Amino acid sequence: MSSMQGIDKYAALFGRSLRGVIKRERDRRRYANTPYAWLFQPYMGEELVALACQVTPGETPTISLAAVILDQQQIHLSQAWVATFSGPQAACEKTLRRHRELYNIETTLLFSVQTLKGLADFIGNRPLIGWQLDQQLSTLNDAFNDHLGFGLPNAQVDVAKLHQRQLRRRHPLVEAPCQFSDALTCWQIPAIATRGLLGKATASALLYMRLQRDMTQSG
Amino acid sequence: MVDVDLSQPPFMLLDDEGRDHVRRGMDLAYFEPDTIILETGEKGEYVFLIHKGEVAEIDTTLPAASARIGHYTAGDLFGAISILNGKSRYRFQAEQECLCYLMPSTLFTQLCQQYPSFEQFFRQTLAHKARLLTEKRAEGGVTMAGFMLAKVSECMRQPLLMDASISIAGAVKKLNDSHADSLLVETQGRLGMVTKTDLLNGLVIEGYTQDALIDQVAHFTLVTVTPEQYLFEALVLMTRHKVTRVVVMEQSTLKGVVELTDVLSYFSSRSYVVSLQVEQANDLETLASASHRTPELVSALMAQGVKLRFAMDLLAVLNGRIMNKAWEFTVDEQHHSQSCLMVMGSEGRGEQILKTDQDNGLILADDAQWPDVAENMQALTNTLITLGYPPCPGNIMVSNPQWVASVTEWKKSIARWADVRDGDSLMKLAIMLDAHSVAGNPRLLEGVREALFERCARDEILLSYLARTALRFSTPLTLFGSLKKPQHGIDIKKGGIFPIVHGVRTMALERRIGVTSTLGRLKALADDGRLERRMADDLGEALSLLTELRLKQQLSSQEINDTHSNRVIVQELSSLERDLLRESLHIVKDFKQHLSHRYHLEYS
Repeated sequence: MSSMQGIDKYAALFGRSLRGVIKRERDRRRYANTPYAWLFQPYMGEELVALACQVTPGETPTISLAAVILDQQQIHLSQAWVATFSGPQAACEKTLRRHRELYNIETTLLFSVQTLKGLADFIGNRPLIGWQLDQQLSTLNDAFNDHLGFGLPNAQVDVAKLHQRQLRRRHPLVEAPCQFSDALTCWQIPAIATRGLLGKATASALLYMRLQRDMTQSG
Repeated sequence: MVDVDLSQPPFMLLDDEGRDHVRRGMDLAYFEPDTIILETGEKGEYVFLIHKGEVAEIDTTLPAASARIGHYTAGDLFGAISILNGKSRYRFQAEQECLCYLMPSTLFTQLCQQYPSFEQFFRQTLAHKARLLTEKRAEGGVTMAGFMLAKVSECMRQPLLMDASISIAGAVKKLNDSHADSLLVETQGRLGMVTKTDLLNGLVIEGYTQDALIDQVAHFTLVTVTPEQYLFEALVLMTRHKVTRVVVMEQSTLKGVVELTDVLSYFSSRSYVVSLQVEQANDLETLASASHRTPELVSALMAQGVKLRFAMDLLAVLNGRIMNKAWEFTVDEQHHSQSCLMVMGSEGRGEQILKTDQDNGLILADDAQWPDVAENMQALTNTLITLGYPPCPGNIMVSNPQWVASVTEWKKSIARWADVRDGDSLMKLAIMLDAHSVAGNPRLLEGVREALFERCARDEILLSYLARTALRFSTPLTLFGSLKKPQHGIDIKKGGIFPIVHGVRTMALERRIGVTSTLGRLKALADDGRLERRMADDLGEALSLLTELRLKQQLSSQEINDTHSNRVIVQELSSLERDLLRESLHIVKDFKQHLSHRYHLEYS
């Protein structure tokens, strides 16, 4: 296993673990003849999807999620996808209310093949971006695995890593702050008049745009 | 969904449902500095609401200095008019990093249909903007700023003070006699104000008889100002106390009254007021008072940084109108079609800023019947003197019989001058070339000018004689190309302005160009191909700069005699001005070389 980890570490330089690459290839072959096949195709367009997730763990966890499509210049806020997934138990009512209030979410969905497929269709095969994306997506991926049999296959860009890398490049000796809000102030991202999870998704999209620009400028 | 603050206009014109539509329909866009957000002629697809950053609105048809016609910052809205018009009239460019909320055009048009007042808002701003722009163009950038500094003493009326023992009937009679709106009464050491409204109320509502004493209807609580206060303070006081007149007092003595109408007419743009005064003047006195305000207008315009070219245009028009009026007052109407009053020299070229000497002449039709022309012309000259145009030291005036002649006689004199070619004749020819008609029948002058061109334009020897005058004064540059710096200053009229004006005049004669202003001639010469466009532009700029320097000098030393006003002391200029002056004089030098090459003056 240690050799696998070594290869993993090496492959991580390309932004993805070797295991992930192999898994993705396996999934692509497996789903080649299903309606999900297109999700596994490499994306050739210019759009991305910014994601923000909030999870209340439990037997059937409650997941609130905001996804918004962005391109080079625009963030398509008007077509954002915002909803809370929950299990069928009525005991979750309290959690649901908290999610609604805290994250400013109006739609509640049950975990099912249909709803998750709806989300997958929205995201498509576009790359995902988000702050500490691995952590945010782990529960969602479990849900995908449970219901559809595969985790989200999209390419992923972790804005937190991008932020750390760019900051280290500019100021090698400075300890990079790892809070999202610190990163926003650090890159002077203006506050957006959007509350809740969609606000967070938008902010990470803006941060991504800002970092992209900074990278092209600094070469 | 976006939580934008929609409590501001135009969104406050929507109801909650409409606002919700807006919130749900907005996208967010990010623009890097200098990105063109919306190009001229492009179809508007979004209404932009700026969240952060600054956007400039640029009219690409204008020169760069004045192209920036609008500026938008956080919270401002743009692009709506482009949607209403179908395409954008101007270019919108991000000046900084910008974050804008975008409202798609479909949503916007839908809102316009649902909420007429919402649409009205944008139609209004469109009309408002168009009006602002035309005003800006018409005024040449005149602003209120200078007039905010006007003092009360400049705008007050003589008070109409009456004894308290006078009756209401008597007061009304006096008011009518003096064309006043209000009067002041003094009783027991106190001052009271009586307005026409007070009189009416007293008679009708209070039921006083006509014989009642005036102080019964007077108000003794007065709103007062001192003569040294700013006029706008008086305006503020009037608004605050809801009155239309305030009393001017200086240490408890009565000085005058300021009425609201006076203040408002004073505050309305003054160039407009002067031209209006000229137009409305029905007698010499009002014309003179309007005429004496033009130097004041020049200083105000210059202080506000109006381009000299526009100030000159405005002044040329005003002076023309004033002379025209003076002509109408002094000359009988039956002679108007048989004669032509022309102005010459700088006035003819439309390049005088302050009132310079009157250089004028009269052309009579060959069959004119006008026996007392000499007396009339003497009267005209005197009138012009009272209007503030000093007499010409060279006596080039209509009062001088030499400058009053019929068309045939003028043609003869021109031929004679062209033949003789001595200094005096050449000067007269040059003066005649700048002639411009201000009153009477302009056809007469055109006939004379045609004859002048016919006689002189092809006479190479005459042209080179004329052109040589332009080289008479040396350019005040040292051997190494830097400015000469004599103690008493350099004469920019002789060293810079005259060579340009005269050289251009000669070339215009050669090419038979009828325009009289130097800038107009330069443009015509460039169109004609006689001068390179670049050289023509450079010469125009150099002339503007030199004239501006000279004007500054004249404004600062209006009392000192004429010889000093053309002298610019280089040491007193800022380094930038010095640099510009040096550049301009180099242009003059190049132009002189061009002249001497063209007219073969190398060995003369």
